[in-house]
Formats: sequence, C-alpha cells, structure tokens
Amino acid sequence: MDVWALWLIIAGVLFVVEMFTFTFYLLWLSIGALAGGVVAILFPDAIFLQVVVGSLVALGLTVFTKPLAARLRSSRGFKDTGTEIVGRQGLVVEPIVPGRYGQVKVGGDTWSATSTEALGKDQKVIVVKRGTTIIEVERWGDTY
Amino acid sequence: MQLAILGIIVVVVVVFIALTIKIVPQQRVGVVERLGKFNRLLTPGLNILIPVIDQVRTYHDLRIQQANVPPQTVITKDNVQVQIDTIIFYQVVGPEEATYGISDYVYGVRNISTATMRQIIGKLELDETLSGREKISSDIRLALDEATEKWGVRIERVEVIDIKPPLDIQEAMDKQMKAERSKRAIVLEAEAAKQDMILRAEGDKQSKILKAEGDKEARIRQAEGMRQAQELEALGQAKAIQAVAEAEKSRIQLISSAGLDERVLAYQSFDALTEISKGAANKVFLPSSAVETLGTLGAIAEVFKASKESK
Repeated sequence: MDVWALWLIIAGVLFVVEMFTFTFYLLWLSIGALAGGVVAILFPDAIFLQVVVGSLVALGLTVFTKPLAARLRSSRGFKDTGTEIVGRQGLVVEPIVPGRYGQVKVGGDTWSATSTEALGKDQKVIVVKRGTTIIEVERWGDTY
Repeated sequence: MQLAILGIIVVVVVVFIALTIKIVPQQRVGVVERLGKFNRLLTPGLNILIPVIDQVRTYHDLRIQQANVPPQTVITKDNVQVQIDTIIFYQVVGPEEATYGISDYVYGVRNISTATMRQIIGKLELDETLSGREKISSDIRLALDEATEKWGVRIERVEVIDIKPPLDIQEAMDKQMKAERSKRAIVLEAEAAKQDMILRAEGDKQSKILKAEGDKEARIRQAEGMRQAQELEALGQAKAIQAVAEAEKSRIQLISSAGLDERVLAYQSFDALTEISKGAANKVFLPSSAVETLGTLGAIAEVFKASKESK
C-alpha cells in the first residue's frame, strides 16, 4: 500500500468525522493530511517531510481562520432579550420612588426599575439603561 | 525514534489546532480567562483562542431555564403549615457576573426563591395565599431582583404550582363549604315557608272579610225585611183595634139608645150571679140585701140623670 493512499484515507476519515461533529478544526487537519498526501506522491520516502508539511498547512489554515471568523461574526445572529430592551416603552405597574425600586412592565415581562424622578402608576416610560435585573427608566409622553 | 518524534509532532499540532478553534453554538456563551484573568466572552459562532494563554472557564446557557423547587413546608400568618410547590424560571443575563459573582447560581437561585417565598407566605393568611398569586409573584419579583442583581441572573418568574393545606384544614374547608351550601338551602326553604304562610294568611283574611261582608249584607237585608213586616203588622193591629173600638163605640151607643134602667140592670146582675154560681169555685157568697143594693144602684142612676140635666 502506498503512503499517499494512507494519507488520503486519513484525510477522508477526518473529513467524515468533521461532517458528523462539526468542530471545524478537523477540516483543517484533513486538508493538512491531503497536503501530506500530495507531498507523499512527490517524495514517497520522506515521511518526516510529509508530516511537517501537513502540520504546517494545518497550522497556517488555523491562523487564517481569524479573518474568516471576523467576517462570519458580522453576520446577524439571534439577540438575547435583554439587549433589545433599551429604548422600548413600558408601563409603570408599581410606583417608582427615587431610592426605591418600582416595577415596570415591558412587553410581557415585569422588571424592577429605578428612575431619577418619582413616577406614578400607569405612567408611560422608556427604558434608558439596563443592569442585570434592574432597568432605569425615564418619563415618556404625557402624565396621567 | 523517528516515528516517536513524528507522533509527538502530530499530537501537538492536533491538540494545538483543537484548542485554537472554538465554535460556540447559538444562545451559549463562554467566559475566557487570559492567564487566570477575565478577558472576554465567547459569542456564538467561530472563535479563535490562543492556546495555553487563553482558557475557557465555563459556558453559560442563555436560554430561560426552569428549576423545580421541591415541596416546602411553609407557615402562614395564621399558623397553618402548608406545603407549597414552586417552579422558578430564570435566565443568565450577565455571564460575567454569573461566573465571578456567585459560586453556583442555580443553587443560589433556588435558595433565594425558597427563602423569599417563605417570607412572603409568612405575611399572608391562608385564604390569601390560596387566592393571591398575583400579589405573591409581584412581591417575590422585587425581593429577588434586588438579590440577583449582582449574580448576573434574572429570575423571570416564580410560579406557585400547588398549595396544599394540611388534611384536617382541607376537611374543615370542605365542611365550611358544605355548611355554606346547606345554610343557603335552609334559608331558601324558610323563605319558601314564609311566603307560603303569608299567602295562606292573605287568602284567609280575604275570605273572612268577604264572608263578613256577606253576613253583614244578609243581616241588613233581614232586618230590613223584619222592620217592614213589623211595620205592616202594627199597621194591621192598629186598624184592627180601631175597628174593635169603633164596634164597641157603636154598641155602647146602641145600648144607651136602647135606654138602660134599674130593672134591666137588676135582671142582668141576677143573670151574672147565676153565671158565677156555675163557676168552679166551691163557695159563693150571695149578698143578703141584694135588693137594697139594687136600690142604691137606682139612686146612683138618679144622680147621673141629675148631673146630665144640670149640664
């Protein structure tokens, strides 16, 4: 059995495993193995060279992943609920007194909220900032 | 020897590449430490790490998670022990705080929810706990938000699945319910009886009134009839008396015109005496000087005559 065939088999197995597990780096390794195979066709005896070339190719591809990742990152993904709460309107459920938390209903959720001014019940507010569980709101529109 | 070196090279390369490229699935986030210090968050998608220097500390699931709190025994304000079964929905919002702010946030969330629940239920009466779920969740929200602000975890909602009062209390509740219902039934029955009696009395009253009216009417009519009859009778009697008197008057006139003298009177008195002797009495006294009396009678007649002539 030729050495290049062995490389090819390794590359194929890696590629199949990659398709099943989707870890991404096995793809680079399988391409590295292919490169090793190409070297093996040219120099069937220099096993050391084959391995080094294969490793170098795989490493090079890995380094090249960074710009690729940056490009992929710019594509829109799912945002979690918290990040998009800022700028939304809400309704005061429990009156807010400065220094004490009140409650504001935004969408379907009730949030604990603070504000720089006292706000009564049923006051329309807009979310300006968000901590982990507590949001900061401002008066919005006319008072009730 | 050469093979060993080759093997080592291959292994190193494979491990290096494996540690460099990290794919994070959607809604998960990794916390990266660079030499033990927090560096950045791994966002979903393709990520490049520098092996050896960078290390992923933990991964967090950003989806809303549920934790079932095992049934707790809670004491209400009116000293009833109730078994309360709650479920918590929480979400990791700040992965950084969730990693460094608290050692085990799941455990923490469970404990704080249970403790807060206890506190809130302890302020309520039993009846309020069974019906006031809105209030419970609103109170719990405030207490939990203050606590979990530093944990990077937001407790979305705490839902009370089940509140089980103890068996004897439950029985008492059943009894109360039954009593309420039977009370209603009895009251309704009493109402019905009352109505029935009232209606009967009304009927009675009306019938009596009508009867009395009838009686009165009848009596009045009867009296009217009596009065008329008596009036007629009196009239008849009056007429009869008048007729009798008229006859007497004419008789006397006839007698007087016939001329009454002593002899006729004497004769008639004798007649009367015989009539008397025929009576049932045993003894009859006859006056010895009957003739003399008759003589006196004659004298009286003379006096009458004289008085008539003087007129």
